[in-house]
Order: sequence, then C-alpha cells, then structure tokens
Amino acid sequence: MATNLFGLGVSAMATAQAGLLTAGHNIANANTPNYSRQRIEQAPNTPLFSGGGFVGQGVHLETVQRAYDALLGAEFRTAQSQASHSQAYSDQLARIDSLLSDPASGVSPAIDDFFSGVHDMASSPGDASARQNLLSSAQAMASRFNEMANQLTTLRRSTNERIAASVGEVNSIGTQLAQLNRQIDVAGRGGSQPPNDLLDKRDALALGLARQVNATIVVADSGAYDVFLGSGQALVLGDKSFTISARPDPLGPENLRVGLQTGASLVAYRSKDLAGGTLGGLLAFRDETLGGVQDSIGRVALALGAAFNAQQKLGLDRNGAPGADFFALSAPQVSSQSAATLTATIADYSALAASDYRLKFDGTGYTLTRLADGTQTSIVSFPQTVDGVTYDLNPPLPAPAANDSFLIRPVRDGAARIGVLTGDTGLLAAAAPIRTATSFANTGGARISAGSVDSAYPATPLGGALSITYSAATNVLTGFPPASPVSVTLNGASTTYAAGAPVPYASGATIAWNGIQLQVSGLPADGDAFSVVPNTNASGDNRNALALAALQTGAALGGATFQQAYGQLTSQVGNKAREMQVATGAQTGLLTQVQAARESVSGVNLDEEAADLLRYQQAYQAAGKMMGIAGTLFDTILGLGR
Amino acid sequence: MRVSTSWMYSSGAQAITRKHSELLQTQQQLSSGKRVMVPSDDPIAAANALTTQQSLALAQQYGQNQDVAKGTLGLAESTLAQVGEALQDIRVLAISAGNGSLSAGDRGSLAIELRGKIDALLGLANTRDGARGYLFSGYQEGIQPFARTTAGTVYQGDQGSRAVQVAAQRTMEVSASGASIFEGAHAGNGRFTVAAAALNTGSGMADAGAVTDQAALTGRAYQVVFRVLGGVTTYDVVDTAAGTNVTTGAAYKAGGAIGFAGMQFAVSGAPANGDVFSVAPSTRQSVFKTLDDLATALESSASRALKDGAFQTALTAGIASLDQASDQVLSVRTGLGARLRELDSLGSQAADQKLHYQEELSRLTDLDYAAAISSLTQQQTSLQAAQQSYLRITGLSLFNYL
Repeated sequence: MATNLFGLGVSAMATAQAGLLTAGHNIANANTPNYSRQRIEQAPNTPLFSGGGFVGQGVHLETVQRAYDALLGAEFRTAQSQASHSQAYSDQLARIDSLLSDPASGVSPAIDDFFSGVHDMASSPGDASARQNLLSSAQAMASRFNEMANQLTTLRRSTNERIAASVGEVNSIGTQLAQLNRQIDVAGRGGSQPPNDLLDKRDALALGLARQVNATIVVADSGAYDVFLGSGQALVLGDKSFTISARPDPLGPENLRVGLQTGASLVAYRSKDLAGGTLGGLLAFRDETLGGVQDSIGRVALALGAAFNAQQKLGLDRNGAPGADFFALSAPQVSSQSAATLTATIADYSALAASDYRLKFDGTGYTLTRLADGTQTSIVSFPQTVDGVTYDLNPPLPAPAANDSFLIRPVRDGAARIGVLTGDTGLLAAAAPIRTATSFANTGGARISAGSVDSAYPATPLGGALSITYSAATNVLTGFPPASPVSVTLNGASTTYAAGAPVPYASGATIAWNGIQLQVSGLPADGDAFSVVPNTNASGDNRNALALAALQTGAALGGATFQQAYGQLTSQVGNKAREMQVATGAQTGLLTQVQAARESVSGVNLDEEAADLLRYQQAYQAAGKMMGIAGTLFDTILGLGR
Repeated sequence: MRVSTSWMYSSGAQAITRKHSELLQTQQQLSSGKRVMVPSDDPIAAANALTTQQSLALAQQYGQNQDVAKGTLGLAESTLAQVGEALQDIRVLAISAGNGSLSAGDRGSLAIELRGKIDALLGLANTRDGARGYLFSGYQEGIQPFARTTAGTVYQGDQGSRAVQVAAQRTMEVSASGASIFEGAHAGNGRFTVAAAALNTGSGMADAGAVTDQAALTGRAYQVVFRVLGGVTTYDVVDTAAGTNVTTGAAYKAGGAIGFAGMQFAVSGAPANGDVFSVAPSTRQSVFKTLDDLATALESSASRALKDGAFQTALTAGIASLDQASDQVLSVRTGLGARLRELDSLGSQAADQKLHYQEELSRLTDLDYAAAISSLTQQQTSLQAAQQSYLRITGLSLFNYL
C-alpha cells in the first residue's frame, strides 16, 4: 500500500515537474518568433483491480503538445506572401514616384525652360545671347532626360539584384526545408511523439519562403512539407530540394529571368505564375511598371526631339543654310536569337506608343504583339508600319525559322540617348527659307502674305526668285515653276492645277506648290507682280522660331502636348503608387489580423505561464507531501514489528 | 481572446510606429507648405499641377514677350514720330520756297537746307536698335535699309516684318519695313500726277488736281499741249501712248479747270506756245525720290535752268506727294500705336492669367495650414495616448506578485 503510495507520489511529482519544465520552456521562448506554446497532456495510469474496485495508480505524461492551428498557419503564409508582394512593389515604385515630380530631377520644369528659351530666341532672333541661352537650356533638358533614364536604369539594375538575392533566399530555404523534413521524419520515427520545436522551425521556414514567393505547401502522408512553385513545379519533395535560378534573358540581357534549373537549361516562369512574395512583387514591378515608365519618358523625349528637328529643317540658320537636326535621337532596339535580320525604323514619331513589341514567326505568318496591352497585329508582308514603326526583314535572307521571335523596343532608349548635336548657336534655324514681296511698281491694291513652308519644302527648295504675275484679262496668276502643280484652297475647297497651267486668281485663297503656302488678297491690277524669293541675310526673321515655340502647345503625341504626355505618365505612376500603398496597407492589416489570431492560439502569455508555474509548483509540493505521508505509513508498519 | 505577451508588446509598438509616421508626414507637409509632395499623394492634382505649371510659365513668357514687343514698337513709333515732324518741317520749307518774292540766291540756300533735312530723314530711316540691327530693313536686320546710289536712294531691305507671340492666340507684328513706311505712298495727289515739262518757257503753272469721276479713269498717260496763236491760247489733250487727241483746240482760261478722263486740274498764268504738261496715273514713289525731285527743282530754279511756271508746278506736285508720304507714315504710325494700346490691355490680361494659374497651382498642391495644424494636434494627442497606454499595459504582470 505504502509502496503504491510512493509510486503514485513519484508519478505525480514527475508529471508536475514536466509541467514546470514546459511552463519554463514557454517563458524562455516567450519572445521567440513563430514559437508555439507547449502544453503537457497528462492522464491517469491504468487502475488496478482489487476486488473492491479499481484503485487509481497515479498519473503519467501522455505527451507535450504545441498549440498550433494548421489552417491559421496556411492563412498566415498566404497573407504574408501578399503583403510582401505589395510591399516590395510599393517600395520600388515609391522611388519613381518621387523621381518624376521632383523639381530638381523631374523633366517637366526643364521642358518649360527649354521652350522659354525658344520664345526668347523668337523675340530676338539676331541676338547671340538669346541663342546661347536656348542652346544651354536644350542641353539642360537633354541631360535631365538622360539623368532620369539613368536613374530608371539603376533602379532596374537594383531590382534585378534584389530578384537574384530573393532567388538565393528561396533556394536556401528550400534546402533547409528538405533537411528539416528528414530530421522530423527521423525524430518522429521512435514513436508518435511530435518534435514540437522542429515543427515550429519548419513552419518558420515555410513562412520565410512565403515572404519571398507564393509557394504551395502540401503536407504529404509522411508528414513532410512538399513545396511547389509557379504552376506546379516542385521546389521541395520530401527530403529532396530543387534549385531555381535567375539568368539574363537572352532577348534582353538587362533583365533576369527566373526559372527552374534542370541541368543546363532554364525553364522560365511567367511573371504572373510567380505572383506573391517579394520575388513576385519585384518581377511585377519590373515587368508591369518600370518598362512602361522608361518607354513613356523615352517616347516624350523622342517625340519632342523629332518635332524640333523636323521644324528646324524647315528653317534657315544664322548662316542662311537650311536647318539641320538639332537633337540626337535613339533608334529602336531589336533583339533576337534568330538568324534573320529584322530592322525597325521610326516613320512617324507622333504615332509612337509607349510599349515594347514582340514579333513572332509561326512558320507561315508573323504576329506582332504590343506587350503593354497585348494588342496583336498580323503581318503578311514586309515592310509594314505599325504604331509609327516600320518593320522590315532586311536582308530578306536568311529567313527566320519557325517560332523565332524578335523583341523590339522602339522608344526604350529615347530619354537615355537624347542629346544636343551642336554647340554652335548659329545653327539654330530661326528664319523661314522664303520671303515674299509686292512689287513696287504695282498699281493694284493686292498684297502677298509672308508665306510659310511645310515638310514637303526641303525636298524641292525654291531655286531662285519667282515672280507671280496677275493678268486682268483672264483673271489668272502665272509664273509658277513650270514643273510643279499648284493647288488653290479657298474656304476649305481645294483645286489642283496641272504644272504650267495658269492659276485662277481668288482673293485670300491659299496657293500652294512644292511645300510653299501663301495668300494673295485684295484687288490686283493688270500686270501686278508678286515675288517669292529665297530668304537671305534674314537675321531679323523669326518665323521659324515662332513655329518652333508653337511646338510647346501643339498636340504632338496622340493629341497631347509634351507636357500633358509627361503629366499623364506622372499621374499613371502616382495612381499606381497610391494603389500599391492602399493595397500594402490593406494586406498589412490583414496580415496583422491573421497574426493576432495565430498569436491568440500559439503565443505565450506570461501571466498564464505564471499561473501554470504556481499550479505545478503546488502539485509538486502536494506530491512531496504525499510521499511524506507514505513514509509515515511505512514507519507505522515497521513500528508494528518492534 | 487569449493575448500573448509578445503580441501585446509588438502590436503596441506597431501602433506607435504608425502614428509616428503619420505625424512625420504631417510635419513634412507643414514644413514644405505642400499638400502633394509626391504624385501618389494626389495623382490627379499632381498631373494637373504639371500642365498648370506650363500654363503659368507660358503666361509669364507671354508677359516677357509683350515687354519685348513694347520696346520694339515703342522705338519704331517714336522714330516715326520724328519722321513725321521732319516731313512737316520740309513741307513748311517747300511752301516758303514757293514765295514769288524769293531771289534765285534765296532758293539756292533753301535747296541746301532741304538737302540737309533729307540727310536727317535718311538717318532716321536708317535708325538702329541698340541690341539688334536696323529698325526698318524688314527681316534683314543687318543690312542698312536705305542707301544712296547713282540711281537715287534705294531700299535694300525686304518687306518682312517680325512678329512676336504676345498671347496664346495673338501673334503681333512688331516691326514695319522701310518699304511700307517710306515707299508705300503714291505720288502726286494719290491718283495721278501733273508735271510741267522742264523746257516750258511760259509762266503757266498747274496744281495737283483731283479726280472728278472715278468711273471715267482710264489709267492712261496724257499730255496737255498749249498753243498760242495770235494771242489766243488754246490747248490739246493728247493720249500719249496712242498719239490721238482727246481734246483739240480748247480755249484756255487762266486759273480755269482742264478736265478729261475723270481727272481735273487747273493751270494758271500764261503758258507759252508749245508748253506741255503731262498727266499720268500715280505710282508708288519713295519719299526720298519726292524730296530729291523737290531739291533738284529748287536747285534748277536757283540756276535759272527751270522757269518759274515749271518750278511752281514741280513744287506743287512735290508738296502733294509729300502729303501722301506723310499720310502713309502717319497710318503706319497709327498702326503701331494701336498695337501698343492693345499690348497694354494684353498686359493686364496676362497678369490676370498669371494670378489665376498661381491660384490654381496653389489650390492643387498647397497645404491648408488650418486643417494640417489641426490634424497635427490630433495626431499628437493620439500618439501620446498610445504611448501612455502602452506603458500602463506592459507594466502589468503576475510576476510582479510572485
């Protein structure tokens, strides 16, 4: 009896001690991240049948259990993955957001300054200091574009570096998970007792993985965590792990492609398959937003430079020579691994879209995809112009193989490569190439307008003085170049007269030939002459400078001014940044809620542990007392024998 | 709900961190005075601010352009005022030269005075704008507009005039070419000229005449040829080009009107036999040609090469041409003055616009200080509350009693 009581006391004492140890373990790990509090499970020993009934045999420790909810754990991982995605996206985007609007680095004030310089030159076309001022502000604007492009390239590089780091982290976690799967398997093999702290460690690793990438975790029958990425490729299977890697994209070496490494080849994931986690956020930022921003700025730079160059060519510089290109502009980038040569040249700068393109040959036909919105165009024959870019296979041989694809970036380098071609202020074309005069001897009251030229003029410039004479008898004007048809537009109705034919006179009608437009208005007398001559010594002529200044408010980019196009970009980025901020806030809030729920189940409450300590301390003391009583009982029995 | 101890600490700390960052944001807004610091703060306002900024820059630019226009127009206008005075001066001199009591020597000295005044006028026509070039040579600022050659004073510039963009929809011409100022006027009375042949010997002199019948004008040149036969003076009107007589043997009456083909002029004095007056449609004539002709007539009269009748006719015709030229200068000057006045009203419009855009910009991106300070105070209070409650709650532990 007393022996039994001893045994009973020992079992109670041992169980209370386990309780004290577990409470102590909980207290020790109160601040360990992802630690799940542990509880002892105790149960009565199998009772002894003594004829008079079952007599209890004390207590034993069933197991030490961690407080863990697998469902909450999975929810926590999902929330963590989404929050990391938004956070990574938002962090990178915030850098562009402030870059675009910054008065010191933004392009907008530089564009305003540049056009202000053009206006000043228009006010004093002969003034060398006004021209110098324009040249300086053009250089400042170009370098502002360059600097912004440079910042964006740096951001792309750092994004790629972070992608590579994230890939490394995923691989490291994969390896550790495989090891833990094995350790847990070994530890659990001795019996059915759970290795709680190892399980916690594995869950912490799984959470760490969720922070990097959105992975699917499947608990195998063996209890191992099998991890799958993307559309179902395994990262961890039992105690084996696989490697993903980040390699330069052959079609665009500045980008890293992430994929599963099998031997020497890389099976790349699509960006959307890797959504979630820091890696997903970085990839999405790089592919959805960064490229678009680079293209948009490139497009503004290209369109502005090209419009200025085109107008510059319609004028005369300080030396009386036709204007030349003022800005250096970039050409489209084409990259492919095909043997064929695809050329892309810009035909219409104002029709450019802020996007990259992929041209794919399927063996029979070509499909051009605008990557920004997925619009597809079939190309049957070359050359073909789409969105202002002319594509051609030149030379036509070798022909592309089936499934060859070409990546075309028409505007990517626009901002990075824009530059001012000249340091000579004299090369700014402020004057118009022609001037007109009403003959001194005219007796009629008709006047000729100053005249203007359009893009057709440089191909057929005015060779020498031209005298247009009015003949009253037939009411016609003669004297136009014999080889040029002349068109007359009055009130929107246009008539073209064959080369050499007399042109009926209509007051105020626009007379055009070889890219020259002018009006004669009023009542001419018979024999009245009007001359159109090549402009010379026109240091005071600012007509082309006025046309250059008008580019600022002209609808140059799909109906928008340069500043509006830049404003649209700013607003797009701002909206996206705001959207990501809101998403980050919402997802962080969700994460906090799930975390609170998880902590509510698994977290350590020190007050609770203090209570447990007291509880088990008292149980321990009571068991001790019980053994004291057993001793007394034993003494009584011994006393009987004395 | 169970609350874990570490969660109590971390969630409390998180809340305090969040409030700190809100407070910092408000503080940055207050110190910069800007509500929108990065586009994501208000994407629409940020984009609008960029275009408004451009409009503001343009309004300022138009203001500067107006100043340039004002300067250029003002200089041209004041120069033309001097030109007008000079022409008026010359007119007074020409009228005094017609005084019959003047001696040949007097006319000679008047001729010298006139030559001097022509030089002064030429100087005005060749006025330079300090920073730029010549005022009145059209586009060719670097080329002197009027130069003396053996063929007289010729205009070497062109008919261009420089324009300045002074408002969004207004491009204003700020210069006038020498051709329009000094060569825009017609000679004579503006419609036809009357000239006495240099070899006329009689005292008959013609006035400048006038158009009597617009519809009857033919645009052809005529000669009025006088015949004196037996003390009776008659005249024929001959169509110069055709050689046919329009009028034959009409009786001459001193001071009476001679009219044909819609034109009429009066001849007074006594024309000699064979004296000829030619009548031609008026063409544009440079003011310098008019003045040179006047000076030449004075000089010829002084040297007796030109008889009184022919001299007086030349003088009358010259004065008529001079009046036409003065009118032309005045009309150009009026145009410049009207543009100067327009600039004044455009200037106040530009100032209004500038103010409007500044207000717009301020509305889009500037901070409402009252609201910001009030939220700063609110955030401060809530941060204090979070900090104090954090301290209170974390101080509670059962271990304190063990």
